[in-house]
Amino acid sequence: MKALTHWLVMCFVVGFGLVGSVRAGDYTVPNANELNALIMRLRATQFLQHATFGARDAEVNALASRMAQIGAYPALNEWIDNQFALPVTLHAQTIREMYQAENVSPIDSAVNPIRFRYHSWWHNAITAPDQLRQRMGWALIQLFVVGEIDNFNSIANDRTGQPSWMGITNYYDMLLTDSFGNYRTMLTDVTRHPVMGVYLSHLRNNKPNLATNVFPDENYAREIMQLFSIGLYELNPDGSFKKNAANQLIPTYDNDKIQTFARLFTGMTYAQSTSLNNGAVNFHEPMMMFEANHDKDAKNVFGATLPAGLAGLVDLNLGLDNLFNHPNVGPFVCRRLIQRLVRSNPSSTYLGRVVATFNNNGLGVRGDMKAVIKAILLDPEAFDGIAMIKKSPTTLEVRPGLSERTRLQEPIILYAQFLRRYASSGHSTGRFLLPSLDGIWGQAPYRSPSVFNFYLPDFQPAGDITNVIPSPSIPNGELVAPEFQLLNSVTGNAVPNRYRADIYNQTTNHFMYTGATGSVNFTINFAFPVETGLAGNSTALVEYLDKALCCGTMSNAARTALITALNQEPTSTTALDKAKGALLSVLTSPAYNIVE
Amino acid sequence: MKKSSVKEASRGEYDFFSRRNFLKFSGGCAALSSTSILSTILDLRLTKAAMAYGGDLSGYKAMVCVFLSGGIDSFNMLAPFEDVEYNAYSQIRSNIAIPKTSLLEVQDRNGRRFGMHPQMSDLRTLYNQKKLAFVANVGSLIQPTTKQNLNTTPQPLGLYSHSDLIRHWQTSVPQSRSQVTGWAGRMADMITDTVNGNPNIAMNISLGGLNVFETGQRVVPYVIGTGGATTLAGYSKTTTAPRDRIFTKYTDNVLSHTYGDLLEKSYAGVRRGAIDAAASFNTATSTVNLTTVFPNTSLGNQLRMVARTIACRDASKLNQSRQIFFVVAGGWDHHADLINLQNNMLPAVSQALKAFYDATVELGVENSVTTFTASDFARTLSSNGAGSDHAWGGNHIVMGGAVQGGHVYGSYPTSLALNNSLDTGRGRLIPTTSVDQYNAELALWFGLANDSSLVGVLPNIRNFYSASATSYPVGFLQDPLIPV
Repeated sequence: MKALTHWLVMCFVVGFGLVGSVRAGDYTVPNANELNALIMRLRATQFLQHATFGARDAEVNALASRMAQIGAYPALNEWIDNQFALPVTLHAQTIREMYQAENVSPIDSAVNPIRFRYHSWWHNAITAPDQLRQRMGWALIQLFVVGEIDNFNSIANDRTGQPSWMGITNYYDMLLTDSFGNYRTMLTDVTRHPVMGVYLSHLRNNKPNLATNVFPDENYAREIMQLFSIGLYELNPDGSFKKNAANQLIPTYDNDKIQTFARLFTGMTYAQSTSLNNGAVNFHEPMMMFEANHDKDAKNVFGATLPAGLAGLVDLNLGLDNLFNHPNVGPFVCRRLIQRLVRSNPSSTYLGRVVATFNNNGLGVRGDMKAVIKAILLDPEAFDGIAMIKKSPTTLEVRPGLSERTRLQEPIILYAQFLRRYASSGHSTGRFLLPSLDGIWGQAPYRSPSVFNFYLPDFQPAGDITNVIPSPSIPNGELVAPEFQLLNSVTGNAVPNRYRADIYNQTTNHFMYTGATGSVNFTINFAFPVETGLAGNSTALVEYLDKALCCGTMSNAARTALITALNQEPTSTTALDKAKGALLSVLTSPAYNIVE
Repeated sequence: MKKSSVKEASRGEYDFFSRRNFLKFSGGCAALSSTSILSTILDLRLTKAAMAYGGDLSGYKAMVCVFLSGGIDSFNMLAPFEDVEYNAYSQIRSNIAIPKTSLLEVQDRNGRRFGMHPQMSDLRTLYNQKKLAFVANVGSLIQPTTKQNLNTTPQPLGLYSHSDLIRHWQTSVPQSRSQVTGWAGRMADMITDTVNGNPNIAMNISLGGLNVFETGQRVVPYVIGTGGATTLAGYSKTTTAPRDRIFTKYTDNVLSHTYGDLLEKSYAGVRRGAIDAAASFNTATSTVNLTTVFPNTSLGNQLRMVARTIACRDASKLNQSRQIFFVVAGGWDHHADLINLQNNMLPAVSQALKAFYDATVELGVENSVTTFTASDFARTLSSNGAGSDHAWGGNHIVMGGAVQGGHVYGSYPTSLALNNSLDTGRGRLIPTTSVDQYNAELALWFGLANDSSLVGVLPNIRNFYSASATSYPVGFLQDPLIPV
């Protein structure tokens, strides 16, 4: 039954797609050169949807021109190299600039300073030149998850003289800084960051005391293995589960291993403490090690034993080395990164190639993130979610991929893309001082509800996705769609309502804090000059929106429906109203929200 | 083919038990908590043992959680009144004690006297009518705890912090910060296929936004406001606004396409469902006429919407025979100015709860609707100058026709004096009734069985309540095994 369903889906796509079903959209252009230019433009748009917080027309055009000039692959490779070379836009620096510009103190609760945490995130997503790094940081915080808890919201300076509430920003900046480095560096930095120490409670974790039956906290030991590095079950390099003789999954670790690693993560506390339990909060420096509180016994790690008596940080580094070299790390981590950047269900061949790069960048280095990022973004399968078929020298059929090749884009990324294209700041500094906005789509910077992030990597929405059997190229025989965990009967309306209010009103006020004379708001403005200019020609308007926002994946039927709706308007309907109605329609359509 | 057979075998009462969901859920749980919890939750899926309580899902029932967020100082909501007990209270509370002459005197079943907060006269009326009871010194626990074993038994993570203890009350898994489902969510996961005939509107309905309490693996709370559901703005087949006309036409068209990409299909399906659900919800609830007057307060308006929703439970409307509601009254974090702030805020609670009870009488469902309070924690008995700080066990209200009212359940401490047998310092009391026991009583009344399903909802419950128990865990609800 299930196999039949899948086969039918295949038939539907292949059989009817070619004769102009709702699946495919056709573009006819005057000559072959323009056809090639169109292909480059759509591919550039697709690539920038993977690598940035959304593409502006000028960025797309520049990249497309370069692709035409030196070839697609060299141009994309060059674009990535240019991004690698850009300095990091750090959020702490952005925050400092913001509160200095407002001339307020970051430890004055009257100005609600924690808001700067979200302001800087949105501002950098919208404006930072190092878009690839910002996008990677957002992917990495969803791997090495921390979320806001009360401890992180203290409006007072910590030991370093910096606001405690900026500690979690410091953690985010650490991931940004590390994102083009080595995964092994991240393991150390994450493990020793006091924000993680508090979040997963290994800060002030003491060695066992057998006399009182007190044992180290196992929280971090469990989560670093389960969520940050190797996962629950042994994997092949292509992401498929290993099976034992009885055809069962093989757990990567047991409780003994958790207890062993729990002993590894002992002795750490806030930097500049006088003892394990005596020291002021310090969220800005790596945790320090107290030798007397670090478990000095031998540790039976994966396939090796760490000898007894090692200095704490030596022991820690050897233990993290051991975890880093576990063969599961490549398939576990790379699958999550592909899910965040490209698609929900990487094939075994795609994942296998990225994992091979993770295991060895070609120079014998394991965990090289630059190489991994290129492997993810430049793989042929990163593009095959959209088939582009030249039906004639001047006609292009654009056919979006099967279920296996797509992803529901994260709502926060879609909104950032919307802002990058259409928004301007109404603030005197030109900065984007937006709030967290998590009430709308259930996703916001620093607001992961738990260490399990906003959605589980294997989440399946109810319905067809749970029942279909994917092609054999998909490891483990089922499709997942994590981001659907955020889409429900509430957000299904609330998210379009946010877009509608922004687009129709062209200005939105966001509350920042209550000042001496009442609410102080941030005003954001929206304009749609290109769309309005095209609105006299419904077909031109719809084709523009399709290319710019949907990579050309709107079906002929979808385009026709929107063109028809526009053409049915009376002559009294203004160009601006047509532009607004059309833009809202596309932003809330399946073709836009499901990305290839 | 292999998968088909698995699917066939699991197709039955609960699609929930399909292999896929099973694996997903078990994976998620291994992630979420200890292996012992994992194994109990797995049990739940595999066992359908005979049970003391029958898992009765017949008829209609609703439970309403009133979350008093911020941590209400509930030893001023229900204070001692017997002379010796009051004197200890007065001494430890000093300037945040309520004068005995102001307290509203009530008696429990045994004649022990208590003083309700002076601003809760409506609720005293219900107490005396035996439609309302208190449960004393309830708090999050992993296992029974005393001052003696406090440091040698596992304790809830992050004791006395808002975010942790709110989470613990709502998840009932206080050993974990990683729990992404709440106990009402897990309960709904188990029973929704039986009790909810509505494909688009969850049986868990929230007036207080998305919350972990009502979130399950499958069931996500349907969030509404005091005016009803959030509709898709501008969507109208009769609109005369050009941009909305374009948007409506296109939306209807594009959500009805046949999509080969199952992600597009799923997206279109959820969006279509959301549009139709909100419209049908508001159509149903807008026709309800309640004569009961609710106070025009945040809590009053939330509970009025709950009453309107309950009025639409029938098959012809929402088609739900079990509903769980979540409403929030915030602002109880009274580190300062406690006396004045409680005097200002408790009337709203008292009046709104009374109006809600009256509305259930008007709707003829007072015996089917049980309302209960929850809060982060209670507060230190000792004063910090003009307020109190975060503590642990506190007193809670249960209300409804099924409540055996006019009594204080659990174990109200006989002495609140500093360093009493429950005091961990400054009058932070170790709970004597666990949140699990409190929740289990509600869950059993709601129709769960005292077997592995109860353990699936409340993984620690066996630390407090036996599988072979012959009475309800606390006793405030009418117990089907004990004749009234």
